[in-house]
Amino acid sequence: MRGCIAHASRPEAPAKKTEAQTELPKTSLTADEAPRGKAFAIAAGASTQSSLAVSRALEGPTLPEPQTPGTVRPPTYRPPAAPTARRRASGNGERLPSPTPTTNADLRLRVQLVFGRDGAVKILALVPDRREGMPSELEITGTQGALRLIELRDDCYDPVTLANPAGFLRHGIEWRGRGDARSWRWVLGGRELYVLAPGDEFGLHGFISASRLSLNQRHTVLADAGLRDAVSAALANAGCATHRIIDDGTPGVPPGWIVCRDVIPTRPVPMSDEHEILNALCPTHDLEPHFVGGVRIERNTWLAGSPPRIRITGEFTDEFQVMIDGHPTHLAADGAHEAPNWDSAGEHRLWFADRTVSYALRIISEGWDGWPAHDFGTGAAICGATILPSASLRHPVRIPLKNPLLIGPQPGEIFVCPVRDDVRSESILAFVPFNPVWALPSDPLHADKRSARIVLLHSRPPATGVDSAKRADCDFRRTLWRWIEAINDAGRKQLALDRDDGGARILWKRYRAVAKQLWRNMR
Amino acid sequence: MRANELLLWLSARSEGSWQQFRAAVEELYFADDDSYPGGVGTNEGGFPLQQQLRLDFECLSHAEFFERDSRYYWRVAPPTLAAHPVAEGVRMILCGARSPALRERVLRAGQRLGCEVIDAHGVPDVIRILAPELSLLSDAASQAGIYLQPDAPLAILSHLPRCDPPSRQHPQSEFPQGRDWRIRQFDPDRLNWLTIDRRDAQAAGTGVFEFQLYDSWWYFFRWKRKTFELPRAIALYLLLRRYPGVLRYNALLRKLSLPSSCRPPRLLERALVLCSGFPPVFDPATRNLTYIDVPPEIARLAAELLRQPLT
Repeated sequence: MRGCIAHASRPEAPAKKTEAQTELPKTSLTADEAPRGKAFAIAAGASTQSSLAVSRALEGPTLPEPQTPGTVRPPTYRPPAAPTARRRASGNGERLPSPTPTTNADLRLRVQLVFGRDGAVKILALVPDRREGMPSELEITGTQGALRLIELRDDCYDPVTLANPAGFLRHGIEWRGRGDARSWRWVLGGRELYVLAPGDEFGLHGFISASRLSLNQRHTVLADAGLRDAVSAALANAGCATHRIIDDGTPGVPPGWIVCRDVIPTRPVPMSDEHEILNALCPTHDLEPHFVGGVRIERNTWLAGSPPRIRITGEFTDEFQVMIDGHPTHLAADGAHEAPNWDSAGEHRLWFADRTVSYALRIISEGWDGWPAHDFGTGAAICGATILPSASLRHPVRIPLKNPLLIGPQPGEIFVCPVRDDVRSESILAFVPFNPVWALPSDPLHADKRSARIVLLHSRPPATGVDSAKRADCDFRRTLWRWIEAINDAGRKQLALDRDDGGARILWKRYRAVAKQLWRNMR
Repeated sequence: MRANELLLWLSARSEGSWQQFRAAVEELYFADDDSYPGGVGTNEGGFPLQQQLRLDFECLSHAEFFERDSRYYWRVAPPTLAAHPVAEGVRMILCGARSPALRERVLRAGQRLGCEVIDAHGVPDVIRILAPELSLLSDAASQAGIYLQPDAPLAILSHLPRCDPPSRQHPQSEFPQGRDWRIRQFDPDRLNWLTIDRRDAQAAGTGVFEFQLYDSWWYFFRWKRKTFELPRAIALYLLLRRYPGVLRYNALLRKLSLPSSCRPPRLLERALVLCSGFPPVFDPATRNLTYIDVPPEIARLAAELLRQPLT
């Protein structure tokens, strides 16, 4: 019980927690999220808490709400612009972090939105990026004060809940953290409109902010209420016919914002320079593969038997073809691509539009070993439902607590079970070095004849002979003598059998006969 | 049935960090709002889903969660058929790691015996095999290539220490310093926690105190004006020695009930759960946890270890 997870490590004293609030060198913002001057400040020093609790975290950390604009320069979002003027966005998500960490590199803060079953917005949070080599726990400071980030996965920290998100969404957020030798900065560019794509592809639930709409994929759009008409027109232009708009009268929707649900664009729209923020609602015609669901073991590896559904979004032409391992695919009822043996164990290659993406399905290899997970010094450790005895004690046997003296079928097989005197119980499960036949009171000769019993555990006949070579061994002679004495003492005392049936009586008589014979031989 | 997939994931990965476990829960449960009205973050009781799954997987003997060097990890337990005597003979429950092939082998081996696969809410399928005697189960276990643990609940209880007060050798502790700790004391009369201040905690001669800061919970047992840091359940049952009536046992129905605030130590709970293969049932009206199919002998031994009488 000592190792149980309910006891988290002692955190540092609170006074030390704020030491990480060190001034960090200013770093350059990326093109996507460069500040544009709408400054604001957030109440500093407010207490925030980490979301992860191995012990019992009930809620994620919550950011305090921003105060009036002040001295800090806010990072501001730069919307998608015409392709010629901008670097091509990578995939469906926002700008991907560089796989190679660089000093003071900027990281993303993605917005996560989760609907409740009642249609309300249940969670509105920020998902901080994480890169290889970054600490699993990190104290950060930002415009909102100090905060502790805890690793969720290799590529992100635990989502941080937004308490009053309207200001953060509009004006942006900047966090800074420092490790032993490096520092990091997270940036969410403030904006009036967010496009969110299904989070399942990123391994997160709900919807996660993306750079822009993708064709034929379900999205959520979060927008300033002032943009309602413009957003509706843009969505209609993109062929979205099924979306619904909820406003801040719905629980969880930030004040002054609207949420468009079930946004499924069906036609590409060219971006324009007029109202750049709405370019995020111009669906890209780029083809993108999506591996959704299944049991993912590693980045591109799923469990055989639980493969992902493979979907491709974008603008398809009549000649559009998809192949898996060289076989043309067909569309299943849910719109996923399937081909012969696409879900068999092994490596697979998905081909479309001159692009190849590989994925693998792996069979579980059965090599699970036990280990002494809980050892209380009782002679055996517990691991799962298994009791792991020490090497010499191999045979589990349920013995009555009053009968700890165990007799095996081979003369000399005698073992005294360590008896617990701290609990009253009829029986315990003990481990002994042989398969015992009889359980006797610890001292048969002095046992109370009225209550003490001889208990038959397993019916096995006694071995009659003893190897002469063994007899020469002093230790063996000693245990042999104890074996003989225990049986003879129980017989002399005329202890009753616990199970008084004919078979047990005959077996006990045979043991007594063998013990008497050996006693005579040893005299 | 996400819990089945989570068990497959654990079995495929074998071991990992707590963060990886959490991420897997996040990934597997994102669309499972129907199972948990609160969504992936919390279940019906407001308790985080990943914590509920941890408790369930631990008490069902599928995995062990542990601390090492102040970090938290999990490791899947080896597959085991945990047997225990029942009125109809002997029943065994499939615990630990699973693969689709292993599951098939177990079902095939149990075909001629009484084999049942129960879709239990929120936990992996409970697979149980019933036979009139242990030797038949032993043959089935050999056929499936899985270790058979006879008398599993009794075996676990037999190797657990009793809830005893700290010995003279037990190192004393001090309450953590700092102002931001939330401090609560367990009220043994009402069986709930009351917020107190540090001075009250320090002045108390006896009691169980919870110190919480961020995501850390620490439990202290004050006894004879000394302070000992102990696991929560151990500290509670040490305090409750003087307050009998916590454990209620219905021998006819073979049900053991206790207040949910007095959840027993993890391994003891594991023994109780292995009597049926199901986690305890929580009754929101009485706020009690009930363990089913608990034989009198196991109930008595559990009560002995908790130093509580059965009522």
